[in-house]
Amino acid sequence: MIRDVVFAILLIVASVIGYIKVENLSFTSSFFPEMVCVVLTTLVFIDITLRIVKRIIKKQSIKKKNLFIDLFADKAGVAIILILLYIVILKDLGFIASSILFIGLLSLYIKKVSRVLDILKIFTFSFLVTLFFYFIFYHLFNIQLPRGIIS
Amino acid sequence: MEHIISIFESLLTFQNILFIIVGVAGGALISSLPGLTATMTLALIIPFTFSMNATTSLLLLGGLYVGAIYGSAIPAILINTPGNPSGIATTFDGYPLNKKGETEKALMASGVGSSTGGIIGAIALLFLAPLLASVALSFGPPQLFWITVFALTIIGTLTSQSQLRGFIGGAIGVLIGCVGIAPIGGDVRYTFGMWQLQGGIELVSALIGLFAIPQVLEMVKEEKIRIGKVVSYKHKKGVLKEVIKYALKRPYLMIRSALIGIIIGIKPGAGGNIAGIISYNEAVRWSKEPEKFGTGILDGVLAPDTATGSEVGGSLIPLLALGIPSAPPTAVLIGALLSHGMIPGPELFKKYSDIVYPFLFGFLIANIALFFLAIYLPRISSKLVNIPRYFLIPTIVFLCVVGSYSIRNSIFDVYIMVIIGLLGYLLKKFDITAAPLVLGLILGPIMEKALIQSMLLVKSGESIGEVFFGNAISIALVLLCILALIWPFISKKHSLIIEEK
Repeated sequence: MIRDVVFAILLIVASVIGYIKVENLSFTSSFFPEMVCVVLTTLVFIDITLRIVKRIIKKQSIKKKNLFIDLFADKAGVAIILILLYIVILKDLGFIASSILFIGLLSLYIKKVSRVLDILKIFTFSFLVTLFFYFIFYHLFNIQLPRGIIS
Repeated sequence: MEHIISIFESLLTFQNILFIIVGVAGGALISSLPGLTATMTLALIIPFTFSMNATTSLLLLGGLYVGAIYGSAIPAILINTPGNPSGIATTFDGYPLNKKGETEKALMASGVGSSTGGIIGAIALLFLAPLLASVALSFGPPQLFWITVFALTIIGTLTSQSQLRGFIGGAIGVLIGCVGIAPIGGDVRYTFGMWQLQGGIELVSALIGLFAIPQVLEMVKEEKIRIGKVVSYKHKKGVLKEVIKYALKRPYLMIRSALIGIIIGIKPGAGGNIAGIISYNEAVRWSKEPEKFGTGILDGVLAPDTATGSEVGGSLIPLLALGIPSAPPTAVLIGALLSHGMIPGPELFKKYSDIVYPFLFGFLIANIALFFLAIYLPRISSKLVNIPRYFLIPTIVFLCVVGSYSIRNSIFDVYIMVIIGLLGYLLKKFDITAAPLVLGLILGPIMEKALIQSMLLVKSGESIGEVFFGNAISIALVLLCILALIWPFISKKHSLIIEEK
């Protein structure tokens, strides 16, 4: 429930900011986003009110949960961090090196291996996949993928 | 006559036919991996089509769409887990048939059903889409505005467990769609000083992020290393003949299922899963032996798969004629059309008839090709089911990154893809699925343009009532919006019965 309330507050704040940001623009540019912000706020307000009323009627206690832990601190949390790291290093480290690292590390994390042979297998796979798609995009589609500092 | 010859001239090239076949086969194989939905498959492949010409690109994606919907039935039969929601109803009798040792029969029935439904759906698409487009040409901005409101209303209603959350998702999508230069006013909005956002959120990046990242993160959480277990079955002679004979003896079942699929496909928000379940439900209702359903009978595979096959063609009708995607995979196809400079909608048939008509006929060919490919594809798919997750998941993310980068050779699009993908994952936790978000994102700019043009008519002296309600089509559309709003309350009982089934 606390999660829903925080979510509703965040959406309402975003709508208010969205409304203020376009307020000074011309009618033809501001009318539609303003209207959407008002509709969004109204919908969120109705939604959260109904949820609170439902709770009160059912007399359910509100479970206190750590919002962040509830949303991100599961297996997916580590995957999210790896994805974010991947796109941060992509430009500087280059496509090939960062992709080999990302595919290898995420595979290792999902499989949870510790044997050297398994690690080697996984990095061989990540190397081959990266090179295969590099070849396809670079040579077949003529797309210049980021080469980074290594090049 | 000349026009027809030119359509076939541009369609029947070696390259186009090859890409149709590759599309159908690729879609079926990728989508037979549980977790890889048809939408995700299309979103991941779209970047590979940018360097192709528009006709070939659309033919490949059309083939992929056909194959991907069919592909979900393969693991549904083999391991009781559909590749994507479209295959849910196939598990009801497909898996019991497999358990009885009639695996090949079930797989062939799935192929025959999908291709028959697909061919009927393609014929409906061929006739209805141009017809609807010619009617829609007479629509003015107010009618277009009401159509977009109707699409968002019905999608909010159908795609989330909570109707309100579905609408909230749609509104968030519309607001994200406001980023960039206003379509009529010309002012820059919500760019926060980033020039890359002036052209708006890159649609294909957003689609890749929304349809792939949340799905991948859900897959990471699953404990199983392998999606399925080793599956093999023995090939027997004459099974296909037997299945075809069986299907021919049930023309009503096939036609009824195909019609259900087409209608569900046209209706915004209801995808292949609903078409399959409703068709299965109707097959049970009309059967002389309803008690046999669920124990492993061919009718229980033919009915849902014919419906899901024809649903694909049905879902393309509102997309091509009105520019409204009625199902998530068609939202991705909008991205493909836009990337080739084609704006989906009634004008499409006038301006790009040299591309659209070859696509329509190509779509028919794709469904015919599916009939033949379905004989061999399950044998390969049964091996693919064994690909371990730890290879699959990083490769999907990698393809998302490469795909979004290749749209404009821009790292900024990769950031957008990941941010929107994480937003989609977060919103999913609050029961807001990707479909209303994407619909809002796509329909937002169309809705804004139509609304502002209508408001300018009001400013020029016409009354609001006259502009927005002064036309029979407008009133009909408003009534449809109201019906879409109250429909969940009316049909609650009906849905409960279907869910129980």
